[in-house]
Amino acid sequence: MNFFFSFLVLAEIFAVLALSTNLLLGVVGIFSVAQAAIMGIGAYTFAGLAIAGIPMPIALIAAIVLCGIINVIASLPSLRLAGDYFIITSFGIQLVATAVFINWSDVTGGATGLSGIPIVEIFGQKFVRAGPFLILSSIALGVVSLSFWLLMRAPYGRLLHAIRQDEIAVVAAGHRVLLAKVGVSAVSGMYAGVAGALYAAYIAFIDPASFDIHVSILAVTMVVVGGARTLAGSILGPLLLLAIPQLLALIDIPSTVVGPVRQLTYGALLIAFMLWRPQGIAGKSL
Amino acid sequence: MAILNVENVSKSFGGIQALDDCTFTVRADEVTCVVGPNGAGKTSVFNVITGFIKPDNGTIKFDGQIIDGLSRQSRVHLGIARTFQNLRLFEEMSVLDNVLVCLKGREATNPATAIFRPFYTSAVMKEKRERAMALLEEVGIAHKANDEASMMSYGQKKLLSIARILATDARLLLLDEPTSGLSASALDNMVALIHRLRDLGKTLLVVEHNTRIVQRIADEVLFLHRGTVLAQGRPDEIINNKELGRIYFGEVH
Repeated sequence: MNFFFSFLVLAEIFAVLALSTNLLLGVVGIFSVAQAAIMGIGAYTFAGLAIAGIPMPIALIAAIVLCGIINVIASLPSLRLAGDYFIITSFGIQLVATAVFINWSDVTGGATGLSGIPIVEIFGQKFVRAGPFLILSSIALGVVSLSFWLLMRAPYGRLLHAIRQDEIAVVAAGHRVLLAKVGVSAVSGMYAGVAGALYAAYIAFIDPASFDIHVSILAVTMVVVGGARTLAGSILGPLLLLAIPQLLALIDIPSTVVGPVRQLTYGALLIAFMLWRPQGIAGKSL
Repeated sequence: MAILNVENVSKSFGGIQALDDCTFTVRADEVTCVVGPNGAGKTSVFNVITGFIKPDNGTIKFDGQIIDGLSRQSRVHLGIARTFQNLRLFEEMSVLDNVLVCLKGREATNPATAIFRPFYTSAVMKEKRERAMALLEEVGIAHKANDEASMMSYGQKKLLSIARILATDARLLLLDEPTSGLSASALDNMVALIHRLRDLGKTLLVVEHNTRIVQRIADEVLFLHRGTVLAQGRPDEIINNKELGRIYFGEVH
């Protein structure tokens, strides 16, 4: 049972990251492959502050705020660069972030990572096992999902969809595209911060490989497979994609090829969905 | 009374003089048609008035106020809105949502309002939906409100593009070829709508090629040629001017 709860906790954490990616990529049309980097900044901020003895709610808020700010800065080039060019820019941001995680060892612990992240404790209750932690991750996903739903139904959500389709027409209607994009980048960054802090708190160990380009691409794959632009898509995508390694574990294959087979399956899924079901399981096509 | 004064506006792109010392006025509550051969600068005039291109020199006044330094958005807030020749609809959105996006309101760009004031947002949305429906009613496509914009006929798309700029509450409407490509009945519909908008107190500046339609809708005609205003006057004066006719139909260059 613990095994299954652990899978659910990770799926929920990645659902939060998928919603962060979905807001940018699916809704407003900013194609970012740097969301894992932002999640990493959240994780390192939370872990570092928690290890230093700062109360966890404050560490969480600090991670969320910092990620919001950094994601705005990271998304600023998208105001000048049309569509596809921003992919390259965000790829660069991801590489820079990974380099910083590896080399700023005083803060990040370098390539060996940060361990000894304190266990979450609320009212004397320790959230060390997957079962109890599932309550925390469910609350987090619930809050993030609710805010996503509130955004999408509001005039603001409609404006974001409009920006994706025709920025010039949005300007001609008298709206400030820059302001809207800054706002959505901040919210997306905050989601990634929540995902990072949850991840650090749950695994209690983080290293640069947890937040590298593969993880960013995994988040994009989750959005595409689950379905872009919808809330359901960003929840179904992580559930399905994280189930794959679990299913692979049931097949009797040598442990050395499990990693490559997993990547292969992700890649094949991405291609298959793009070819035959571009709208994903429960979404719209990009 | 003049609502718009364009004074000595010039604009060149590289070696091409798109606008050359262009001067004219648009009177309030009238329909002014902009005519002229291809490349005369009609769309450039729209672009400098709405701030989509910055003129090299010259001044533009709206309602007596100089608007040269204003952003595109500020000009919309002052009361100048435009359509595009290629319409630029939000094709994947519903007809109603197309209008909703263009309604005035600051809450549209604020995610915090959407998240932290859900009940206020609900109230605002209800109000906006009613206003948007009224605008769709006005242009005659209310029955299509829930259809995806891409599913509409070309004529209906043009009506939607006008509903969208009405949503901005602008007083001066710039319509870029509203009648081109329309069937006979859709065309009559559009002419009637333009009359109705004028009667509602809107001022319209309309790019129009067809002289018969110019005669039906225009109170005033502006004849552009090579980026400059060759003549401005009442429709009959301009249309019956043989010299202008020759320029328009390309007999002399």
